[in-house]
Amino acid sequence: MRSSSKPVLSLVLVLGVCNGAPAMAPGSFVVVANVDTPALDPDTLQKVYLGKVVEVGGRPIIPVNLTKGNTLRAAFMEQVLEQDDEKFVAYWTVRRYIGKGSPPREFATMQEQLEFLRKTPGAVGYLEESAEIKQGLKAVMKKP
Amino acid sequence: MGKLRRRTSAMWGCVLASLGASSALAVDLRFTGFATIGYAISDQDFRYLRYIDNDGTFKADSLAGVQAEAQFDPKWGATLQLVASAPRTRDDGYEAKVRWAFVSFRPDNDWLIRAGRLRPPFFINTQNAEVGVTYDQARLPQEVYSLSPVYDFDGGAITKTWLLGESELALDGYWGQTDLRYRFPQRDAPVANFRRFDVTSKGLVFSRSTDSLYLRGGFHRVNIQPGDARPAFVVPSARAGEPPIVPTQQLIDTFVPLSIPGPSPFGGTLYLPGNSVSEVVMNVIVLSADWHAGDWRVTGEYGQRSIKNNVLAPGSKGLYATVARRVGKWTPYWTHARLRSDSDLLNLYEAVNGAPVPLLAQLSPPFFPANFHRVEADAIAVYDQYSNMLGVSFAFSATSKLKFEWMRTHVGLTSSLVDGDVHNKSFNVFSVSYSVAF
Repeated sequence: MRSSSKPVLSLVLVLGVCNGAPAMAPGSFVVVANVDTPALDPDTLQKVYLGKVVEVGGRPIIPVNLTKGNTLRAAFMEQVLEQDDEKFVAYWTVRRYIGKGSPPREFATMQEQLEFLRKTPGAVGYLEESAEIKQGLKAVMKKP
Repeated sequence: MGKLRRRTSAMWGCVLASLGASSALAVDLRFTGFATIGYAISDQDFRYLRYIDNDGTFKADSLAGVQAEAQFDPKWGATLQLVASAPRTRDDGYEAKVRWAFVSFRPDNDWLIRAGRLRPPFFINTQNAEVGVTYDQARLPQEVYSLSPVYDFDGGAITKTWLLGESELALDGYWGQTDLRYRFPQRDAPVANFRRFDVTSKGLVFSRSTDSLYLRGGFHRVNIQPGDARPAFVVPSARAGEPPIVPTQQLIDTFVPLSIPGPSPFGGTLYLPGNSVSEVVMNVIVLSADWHAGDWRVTGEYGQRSIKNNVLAPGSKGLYATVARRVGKWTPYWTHARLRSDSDLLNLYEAVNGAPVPLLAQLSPPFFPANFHRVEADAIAVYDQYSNMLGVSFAFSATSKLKFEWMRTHVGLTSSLVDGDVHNKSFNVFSVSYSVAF
């Protein structure tokens, strides 16, 4: 369940710095939420994306994802959910077909996700670390 | 029965209307699907699991399903699932049926309430049994998963969950009705006898899961009533022109031995249908465990059907154990599974099936045919078999899986999962299947 690719990620980071690349890890992201979304700790965020938590303090939480294959999504899976994307998909395939819900809504582009996050109270997602956190959004967590 | 049909139609109407409304309101509406194409061939000319013989078949394991999910708001949703597969009411052709049609309400993290057509949790893979990509076996062990021919009920289910640190506890309660066809192979007829029963089931299932261990225990109480006015079986009279021998009962509690005086083969024991019963009450106990450790996975399940008021009802005990180990994308596995009817039922089957019909009974009205006892024996759902399965799955991805399996099954006294006069015999089944979800 625990990520086994963190050493690889670290190595990539080191190589990136040695080559003069910006000191930002590939796949660095910031977890963002609608301003009306309640505060989320890492454990709760994990449970939100696994469908185990759907509300916090009586207010609904709506997780969103980028579509499969996106590098930011892969980084989010590894660092927040502590599992690879294949396991996440397998988990939701079972959960969906035992009638216990659907996986987080997916967006093909960052812009679409951003719009949804801004418009939807309770929504939570993630953006590139360098992205501007626009009005209507707030940062929940920064990784790595 | 009419009431059940009307209720079912109303329920589908509600779910379809919900899905339609969701589309109009542009809420989250998703369509997904799953399919398995599977080929199985045995080394025998008799059929196992309805279709598998030495001619090979795609019908035993192949199916396709589509699912529509509508999320109206964070709490309310609706699901509709349609599956095309081999039919459940006859052996020929294919059929497409609504498996799920339910509205769900999740008021908070801990409660989930569903109403409509749904599949309660019996065994670990009962609910996702038709989605082959969700498990590694080419075919779920029928010694356990055939405990009921149908697991879809029209009714309601409530799930209460407790998140306790690293573990999760859940209590599922449900109530539902269905009309099912129980298949009785007939050795002396070209087609199997599908008898209709109205079934009401209610149960409580408790489960506890952690990252490495999943435990489940369930108790289900099942009430079974005859679903139509058809008798349990019909036997042509031994004399041409005479009316067939038709028991008046739809549900029989046993076969009663009647001693016909005289030396064999003129005299002997004639078994006649016993008392008529209006209902059979069955208690079902299910125990499941699934343990992961690194790449290893061990799964074991046990299912028991207990019936108090009817010797002929299929009381049985079934279990299996699977050991699997993931090696990259490959997951080889071995399964051992057993299914055995209650001793009373096996003894009765053996007595009825093995007794020659006395000649005096064949020569006097109503002229019992010589195969009368065989036909009666075929009206008993009885099982005595075990299987070993050696297989491997290859996961192209989380939603795409190829599977191979060699299964060796041994039938003892007999098994209603086998068509034909098969006893004390072992046979092989080879299966290959490809499952996908999209």
